[in-house]
Amino acid sequence: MKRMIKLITLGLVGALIITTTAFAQTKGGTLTVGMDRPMTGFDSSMNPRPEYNRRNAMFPVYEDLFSQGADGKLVPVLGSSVKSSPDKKNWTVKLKKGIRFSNGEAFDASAYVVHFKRYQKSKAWGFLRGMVGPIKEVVAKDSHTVEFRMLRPFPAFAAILSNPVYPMWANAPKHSAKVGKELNRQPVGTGPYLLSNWTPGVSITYVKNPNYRDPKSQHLDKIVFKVIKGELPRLNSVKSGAIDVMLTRDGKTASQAKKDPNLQVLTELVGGTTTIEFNTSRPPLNDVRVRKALAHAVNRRADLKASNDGFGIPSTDWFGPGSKWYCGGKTGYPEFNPGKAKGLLRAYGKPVKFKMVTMPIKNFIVGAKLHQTFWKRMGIEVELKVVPPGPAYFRAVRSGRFDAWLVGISEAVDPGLQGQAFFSKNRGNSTKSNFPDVDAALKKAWRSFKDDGTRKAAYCDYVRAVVKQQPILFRAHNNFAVIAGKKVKGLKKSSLTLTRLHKAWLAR
Amino acid sequence: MLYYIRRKLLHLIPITFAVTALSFFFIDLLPGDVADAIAGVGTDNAVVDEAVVQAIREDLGLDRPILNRYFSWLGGAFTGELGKSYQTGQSVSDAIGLRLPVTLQLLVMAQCMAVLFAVPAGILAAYRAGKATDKFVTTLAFAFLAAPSFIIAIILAFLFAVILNWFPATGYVPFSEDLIGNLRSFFLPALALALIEWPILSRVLRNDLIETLQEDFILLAKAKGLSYGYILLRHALRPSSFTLITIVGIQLGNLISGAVIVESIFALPGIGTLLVASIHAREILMVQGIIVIMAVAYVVINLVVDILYGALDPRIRQ
Repeated sequence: MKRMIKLITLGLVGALIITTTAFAQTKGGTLTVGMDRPMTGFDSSMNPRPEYNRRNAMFPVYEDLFSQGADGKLVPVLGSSVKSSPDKKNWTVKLKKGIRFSNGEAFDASAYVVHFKRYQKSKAWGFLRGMVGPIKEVVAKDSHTVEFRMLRPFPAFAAILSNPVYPMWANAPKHSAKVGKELNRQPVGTGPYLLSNWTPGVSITYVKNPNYRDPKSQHLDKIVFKVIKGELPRLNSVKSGAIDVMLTRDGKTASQAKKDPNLQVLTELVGGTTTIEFNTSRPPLNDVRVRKALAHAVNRRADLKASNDGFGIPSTDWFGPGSKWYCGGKTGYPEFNPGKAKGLLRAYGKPVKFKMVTMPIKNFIVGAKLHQTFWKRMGIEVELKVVPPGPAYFRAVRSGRFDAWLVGISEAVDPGLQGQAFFSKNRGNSTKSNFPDVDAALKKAWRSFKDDGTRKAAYCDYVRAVVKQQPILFRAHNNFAVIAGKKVKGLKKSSLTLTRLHKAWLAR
Repeated sequence: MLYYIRRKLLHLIPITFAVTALSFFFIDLLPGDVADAIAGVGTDNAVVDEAVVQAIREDLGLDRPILNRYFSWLGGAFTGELGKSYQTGQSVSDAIGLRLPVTLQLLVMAQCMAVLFAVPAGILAAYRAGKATDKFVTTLAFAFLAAPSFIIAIILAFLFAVILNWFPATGYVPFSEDLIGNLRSFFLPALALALIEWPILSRVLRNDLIETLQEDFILLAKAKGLSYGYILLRHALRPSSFTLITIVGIQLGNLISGAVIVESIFALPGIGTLLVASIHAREILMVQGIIVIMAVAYVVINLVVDILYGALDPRIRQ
């Protein structure tokens, strides 16, 4: 009897909580989001860049096939189930039935086929493949079953299917064919909102998708993304109520926002890392003792404090503590030890002098100067050159004029997509790494696809092999923050810098 | 006068030709181009095949010789076709058409505010020349003159938007949607520009007024027993405002550069922000379009100033 009463009471409390939450989700209003960079377009074959403003601004229009539950299991969104062949070369996804694009077109397997055929024909396919894996072809097995056929076994595809990976976001096929290049300005997805107006460089306005299958989840009438350059103007805008939400990677902005009781700040330890890479093919950085000495000479906590207001943690591999692929800090990464650095340099026995390039953005330039100072204390002379970000920077890196360069590495959804830059035969091997142990560890990681545990062990072995050779210095994991006024409700922490802003609502 | 206007307008042709050619060639000298940006070169871990970038370049016609590209653009410009953004596909004319009214409103409001501050301050300083009031106005003027516009803009935004919440920190409300909202969204940016603008105008007016006040006709007015205020406003102000008008005209052009920063801080979608974004993205056609508009604006503003001279002083018309 007592148990019965307990159950009834629990049930009533649960129902009350659910009802209260449901009532709390007020309908209507416009959510205004401040973007740091302007939108360059919705067609990823024309604008493949994975910049976080763009991805967040695209998200209300599109949906993923699956998402991930708290337990890491797949949660159906547009897909209902997924199955892979034993060799992980073919992945079969069953799609949900009855789903429509915002223009009324049916969402089915042929839509995915058309979507990927467009991408594969595009000039950006080489770039996009870096995000969706080595897809050879996409085939419609029946009206609602689609098969992704890979060039090689690719266990990482499970993670790609269940994370917000934007090249997977399909457009309505008939509409795509009709508008051609204009798809870049006229996206049509299955998401809860549709594009109402886009004034390039100014704002993007979304309104409710009338064909959306779950109208209850469309809390907002409109979502407006406004371009507001600069951290301070955007923070001031949130504080004054001119906008509701801003997204940032800047530590100082996040710290300032946290001090304001009228703001809510959701931070994500994204993983990925800022790094310094070395050209390991020529003296003095072709000697592992010098590279190790450079690592030991730097106090990375001081670097993090100076360059990003302590927002984040020093990194020891590409994945952060929030990721299931994180190696737990056990990669053997050299800690700050000036004595050891001096000893290694003494063993090297020659003066160390090299050229380093950085970008004129705060995190990079402060970090570069700090490293230069730490290294100077060891008697290492570094000539620092500043090159504007973007194409010019990467040309400078690739020109061979520099021995070291600062670079940010985004967190991928799976180790299968990360860290290949140190494989000696990789075209993107900018560090000119040629270490048999690193190659062997990476090959082993690629071949291990039995289960996640085995894969993680192999991946961490690979990271340890890289750290042992030190063609790269890890600086800190990239953090990300969503800053919003208190009237914005239902905000969820971002995942890989992607925030489901369209799921929020505004308190009256 | 018509001959004069025609001659001034004819100047537009070589000016436009020179500025567009120079900007076209200078932008081309910068490393990298829009094809890199489209291909994703420069993004975190992007490994982009050079062949992909080259293919995009060919697709956009960026592989043609620069002279060929320039004259092809010039031909289009003469027929009113300024091209399209490589990245977004938006027409250059549309982009400029959308943003020009914003910048114009900002500049006009800023200049009006600056004149509103400068004229009383200049008159007051001239009237009390050498005295404490003059020294105070001079010090204040130099303080604002020394402050960069972005600092003033940030302080204004913090004070009036974040602390007092009187005006929006950022954003733009079109005139057609809400007049009050529009004026509120422009107030702080215009004030930021006006505060760095008024000191020059005020100093120029003060100096000219002091000189005018020593003229014989002022002495005559005084002898007639007219009040000092009347003499200042009715007799001295008009002949003392030639330099002021010239400076207002010239500064209106110069304000465009200040507007670039202020527009960014207050997120006003004007020509300034468009120009900066286009330079970053190597959107050469967009940059060209804006430069043509700016060149025309400079010439037209100077023409208007010259016409105003004539209106103020009939001797110039003759």
